[in-house]
Amino acid sequence: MDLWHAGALGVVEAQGLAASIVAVDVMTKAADVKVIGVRRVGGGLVAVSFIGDMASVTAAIDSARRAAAAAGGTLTSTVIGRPAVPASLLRDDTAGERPAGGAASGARAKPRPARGPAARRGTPRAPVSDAAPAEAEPPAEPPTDRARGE
Amino acid sequence: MRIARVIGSVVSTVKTETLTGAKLLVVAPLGETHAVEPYVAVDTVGAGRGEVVLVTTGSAARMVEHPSHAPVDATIIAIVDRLETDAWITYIKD
Repeated sequence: MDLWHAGALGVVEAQGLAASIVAVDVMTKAADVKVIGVRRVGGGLVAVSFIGDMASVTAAIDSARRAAAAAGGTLTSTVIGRPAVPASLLRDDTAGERPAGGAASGARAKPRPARGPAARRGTPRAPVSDAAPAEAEPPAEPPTDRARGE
Repeated sequence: MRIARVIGSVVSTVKTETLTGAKLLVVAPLGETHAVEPYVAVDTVGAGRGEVVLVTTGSAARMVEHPSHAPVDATIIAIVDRLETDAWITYIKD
């Protein structure tokens, strides 16, 4: 999906998640804009993208800029009318922590840490058993084979 | 100061320079004996739609944050959490 039919796309970059959250709060209260993605750029920069009509996006960014200046920070921003930008570019697709060498997730099917007792209760799908080999899983557990087969 | 409820926002991209970045909200006065039209107030505290706020008007409105020559005659200066009159709690913010 791209954003061609959104009136305008705004992207605001702030240093730190807290500053970005403040910016989002100010923007959504000041104008009718909708946040569509948050992306951690690296180095502590967080980019928030949002859509709305051109006037709303512009006014929202103005308000966020003023709020940031009052708090002693700065914002980098851009506004694009009729954005020909894929939405996937604007979103962080990984919700959790990324490993340091982020590109090395190709071969294995997304190793995810087991989450609490519910994850190892032996539900039929149980793909998490593949992820934690160090945690002394019973070796003859059938879900392991199934997860590898998928 | 007056008690009012935020009922909307105003978006304006072309405006006088001193208002750049000002967050403009539409507020409807509460508890007035006669009907008062909603009006626009500059927000300084981060109020959102539906909240009950305190609005100051007149020259006092310009004493918050704006340049002193900004054409502002109403400013939201507080968000109300609890309102009590005659020992009756008339409003509690959810």
